[in-house]
Amino acid sequence: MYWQSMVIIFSPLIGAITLLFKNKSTDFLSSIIANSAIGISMLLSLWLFILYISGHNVSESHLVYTWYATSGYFFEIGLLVDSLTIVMSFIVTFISFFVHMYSIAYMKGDPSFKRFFIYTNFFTFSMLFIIFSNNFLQLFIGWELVGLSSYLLIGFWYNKPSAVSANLKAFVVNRVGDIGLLLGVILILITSNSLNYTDFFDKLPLLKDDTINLLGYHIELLPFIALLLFIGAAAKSAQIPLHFWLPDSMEGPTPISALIHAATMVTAGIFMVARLSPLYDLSGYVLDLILVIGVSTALFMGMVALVQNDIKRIIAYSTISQLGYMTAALGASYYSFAIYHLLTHAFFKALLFLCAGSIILKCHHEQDITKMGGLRKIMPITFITFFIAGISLMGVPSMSGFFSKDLIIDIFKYSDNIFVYYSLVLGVFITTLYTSKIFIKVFLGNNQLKIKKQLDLEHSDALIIPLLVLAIPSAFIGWSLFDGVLFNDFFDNSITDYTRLDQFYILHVEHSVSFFLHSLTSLSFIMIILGIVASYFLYYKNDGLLENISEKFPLLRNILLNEYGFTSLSNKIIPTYFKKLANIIWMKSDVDIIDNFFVNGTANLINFISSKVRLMQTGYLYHYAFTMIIGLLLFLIIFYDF
Amino acid sequence: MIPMSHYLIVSSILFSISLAGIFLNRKNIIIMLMSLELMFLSINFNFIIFGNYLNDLTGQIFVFFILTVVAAESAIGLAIIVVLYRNKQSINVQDIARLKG
Repeated sequence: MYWQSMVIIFSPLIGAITLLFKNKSTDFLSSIIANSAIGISMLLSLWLFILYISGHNVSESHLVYTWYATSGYFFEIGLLVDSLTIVMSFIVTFISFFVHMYSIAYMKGDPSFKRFFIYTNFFTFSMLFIIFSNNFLQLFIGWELVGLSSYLLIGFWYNKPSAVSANLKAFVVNRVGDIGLLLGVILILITSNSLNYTDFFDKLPLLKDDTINLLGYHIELLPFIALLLFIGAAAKSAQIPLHFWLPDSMEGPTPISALIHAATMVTAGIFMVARLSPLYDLSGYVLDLILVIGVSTALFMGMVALVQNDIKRIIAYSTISQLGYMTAALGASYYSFAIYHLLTHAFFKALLFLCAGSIILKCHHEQDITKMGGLRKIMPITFITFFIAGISLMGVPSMSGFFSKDLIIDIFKYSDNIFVYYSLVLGVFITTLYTSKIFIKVFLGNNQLKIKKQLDLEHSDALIIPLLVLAIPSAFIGWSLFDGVLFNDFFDNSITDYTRLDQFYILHVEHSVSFFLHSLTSLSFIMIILGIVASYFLYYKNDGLLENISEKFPLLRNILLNEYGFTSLSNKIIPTYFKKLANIIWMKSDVDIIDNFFVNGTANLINFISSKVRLMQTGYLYHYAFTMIIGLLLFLIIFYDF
Repeated sequence: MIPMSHYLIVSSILFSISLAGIFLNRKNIIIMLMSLELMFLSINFNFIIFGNYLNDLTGQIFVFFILTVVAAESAIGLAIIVVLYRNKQSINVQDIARLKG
């Protein structure tokens, strides 16, 4: 598996470098280079994935290159190939390839066409670098590189001020998380003397009862490391309270929203926690914290989506909410369920974004769904694929999203956390509401923008094929992987929760068919039906019910519009106070102390002293002579021995 | 025989006059140069007195050397004054204060 993995990782990097140093390149050639670089990765990942599903069990770790070694510490670049790696690389390369294909048409005519593909190729490389890493150093490097590519791509249209402020926000918020991650990695290095995952996991029993002294308090070591690492994961995966960069990141091109901000990069946090499952199993209260954060993100961020009207922002909040479901599964120690939901979510959410991109292109870059309508007949393929992705997101039984999401909800149904269960079920209702809202406003109703139906297909092939291809896994991958993969010791060499999974399967699932049939009577299915009925009255029948509700509860509406205060926190409070603080530092430390005291102060002092000393120089010859004689006399008086 | 202290007093009076000539003279730079000559002479006078008193010819021979140097020095000094006068059209000491800080 060594050479296949190396090719999977470095093929996109080679693509990016080739494009970077190829000065004269037509748009056609650039897209061919970028797509074939990703295509090679995609085919090899698919091969590994199929090989693995068909029973070729693999778990191997390779040392590729020792970066440097110093007094007992080894900093290495390595490869870890196991089930988790293979699944993640399949997701990333598969979606990346079809997003690249989509981008050929979407970015057509853009003056920076080549730059776009350099960035996306580089992003794919960085993401694969994280996924295949076998040590924390490589994880951190990849983590920074995906952050960089995300920054570059959000600000891709850099002469739009909103895009520039959005990429700055994303970068700064991620930096907060990076501090946590870096501190965690440093702590791991100094306590276990190794950055390798397996070395660290082997030392976990020894470190279990260790404490560290932090400002006089003795804190348990492992939960503290887990907490620090989770700060990094929360920033990357947009969990409360570090989530507010993700809706703004929709300023980037839509394929980027599909690739980075829905399917791959934002799931890096989930992936990391699942990868470090032996650590998180031992970290007690941190898991509870993760659970609380996940559930509140899932519920509250979904509610924010209800008051949004920008199609991309709605889907972005939906992404945050679905990431909340994954985080909740992590918090309950069912890491495999989180990865499973990550898998299905990646496909249907990427598809939703690509459909949104097609809609936006068709509507001449109008993103407000209240101004759209009646696109069903004009864009039939987008209509069908959006429908599939939408019901998969809602969790309609038999769709991919259903299997993964209902599994997560069922964890809490059969545990004591009944409050969490009801929150997540309410989340399903809200998911249904906003999904049908987009659907009704965009595809049904009147054709407000007066868009004409073209005789040929609705768009070029490059825009249509990715939609059709992604619709297949959005609908079927959930069921097809359910029994054979998820509950067949699939993750047993990479994630530690397989005994829990076995029990869960025997007690509550039995078989995918029984799980499917059972869910038809479950609360979440009732919630989906309720949601559809409610959205029919709220959004389809124009009898002013929605306006009545929002007028009756202006406070609630304002809270949601303000995103529980996070909007004003991130756009007003933090910048204002930060500017004030920076102003104080500038005026006091820079201007007063450094400039006025040290730099100008030294010069002024010398100037002052010399202005006094200068008065001694009269320029008259007789004064100098007089001074000389007097001086001579003084010396005589002092040194002459009378 | 005239006591030596008399000679020394004459010599120190000469020295003091030349010193005063340098300090108090605020007009003519040539007078300043002359005072300088006088100062040298008073010192030479001292050499001769002590040489005679100690019966040693070295002092008197040394005076010749000093006089040679003084002649050269006053030649240079006069040359400088000529150049100065050409530039400033003045030999007034108070006018020459370009080194004032």
